[in-house]
Amino acid sequence: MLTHRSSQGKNLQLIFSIEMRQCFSQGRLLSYVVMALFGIGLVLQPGDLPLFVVVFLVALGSLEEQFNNMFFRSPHELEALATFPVSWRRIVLTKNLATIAGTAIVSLCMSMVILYFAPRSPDLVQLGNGVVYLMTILFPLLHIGNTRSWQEPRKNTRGHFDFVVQTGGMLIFAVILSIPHIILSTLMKLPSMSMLYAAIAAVYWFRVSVPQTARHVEQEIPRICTTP
Amino acid sequence: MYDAVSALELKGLVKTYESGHRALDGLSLVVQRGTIFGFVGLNGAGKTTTIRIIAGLCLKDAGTVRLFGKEIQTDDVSYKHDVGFVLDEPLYFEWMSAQEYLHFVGRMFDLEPDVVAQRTAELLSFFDLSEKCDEPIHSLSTGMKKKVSLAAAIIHNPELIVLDEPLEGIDALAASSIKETLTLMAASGTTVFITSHVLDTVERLCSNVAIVHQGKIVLECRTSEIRSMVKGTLADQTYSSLEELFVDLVSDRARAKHLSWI
Repeated sequence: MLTHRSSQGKNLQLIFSIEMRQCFSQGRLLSYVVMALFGIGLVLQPGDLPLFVVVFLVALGSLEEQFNNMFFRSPHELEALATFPVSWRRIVLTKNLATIAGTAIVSLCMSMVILYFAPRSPDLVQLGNGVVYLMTILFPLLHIGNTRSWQEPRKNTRGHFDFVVQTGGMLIFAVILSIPHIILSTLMKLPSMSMLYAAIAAVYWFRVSVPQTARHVEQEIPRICTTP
Repeated sequence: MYDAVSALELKGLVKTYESGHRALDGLSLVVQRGTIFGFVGLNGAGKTTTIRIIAGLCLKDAGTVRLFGKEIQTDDVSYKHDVGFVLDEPLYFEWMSAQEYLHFVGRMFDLEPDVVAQRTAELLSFFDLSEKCDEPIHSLSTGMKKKVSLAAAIIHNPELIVLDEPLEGIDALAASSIKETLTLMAASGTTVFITSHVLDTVERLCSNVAIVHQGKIVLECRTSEIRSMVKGTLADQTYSSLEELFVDLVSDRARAKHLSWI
């Protein structure tokens, strides 16, 4: 007899914890170190790069796989998840929430390292601007990552060169996605509009991107599973 | 018409891949509850495609899949509470230990922590995995990985277990413990749906068998009936084994095979 039990909350906690473990696994250490060094290099350059923008960009770049290849953190992860009684919508949402949590933690760690080497000290205003900036690019990046995760999945890691290419690509996206914030906050001096833009992006991510990604996974799972 | 006692009912399944290969061509079969059902066929006959459709890993072009009378929809995942899968590819997060993985799977199926702990310990002991239960799964042998996969598939005590080639690539001892588990489960009322190339094992293990060829079922019967089936050409001769029947049904008899130097 089929019984329909539904306590997906616990399941999602489990997936969240697995995501966080994968996010901070030993194998990812090298990418964090490389990106931290890259961030230190950036803040030591002459010029006036906002410190927290550097911190957040570096943190986002080091989490490239978490954003853009969410179904293949392990080679058979997608198939394993497909056998559990959890909807793809919830899985995608949980993975995205874990990515947001990972971004916050990595940003904190990166800020401690990078700001230690920074030639000038940041103030609270800079921190506030940085957080608003992060919000304006985070949700669009999640949407792009969701799309790339089902469109161009990478089942197997392709080495350091691939890491550089993928991370570089993500940073280019992040820079392009910074344009609205630059226009609204820096040029027009309207940070509240930046926050409104971030809120709209968050709603779009939750209402459109997550269910759309889940639908595509449902429909295209054979192709995604057989990706190289 | 839906059969009230069936665990699994496939009706008119059609699947054509993008390459143009028609993997399933109107496949239909009924698996009765509490049976061990052998699903055999040549490579590419449609076995794995059928199982992946049941698991939701492949979309069918036409046809229906019913589990315990309820038709499965693409976006329905609730039926997975009652099914355990051992697919052709390893299913696990290979960086986890067997113990961690079983615990994770048990919790994903909503079992209480104490139940998960108890069943994990029992399964590790039953499959002789206790000694290596803390080692990452990727470091285990193929046979042990299959055992972990099977243990994970049954930890939630499913009513139907679907296995794709569970005996492939493993030693006799591991195969024996897997067969023992399946027999035990069937005796307790679980339905087992299994594909295998090892026809001898299927004949001895399964109560029912279906032979799939070019995406269609060419024979579905009880294994006890095989030896009483009369060969097509000789009225007084019956099949001596499932293998003989299988070869007769799926081989291309019109094409005489020979090697030029023999």
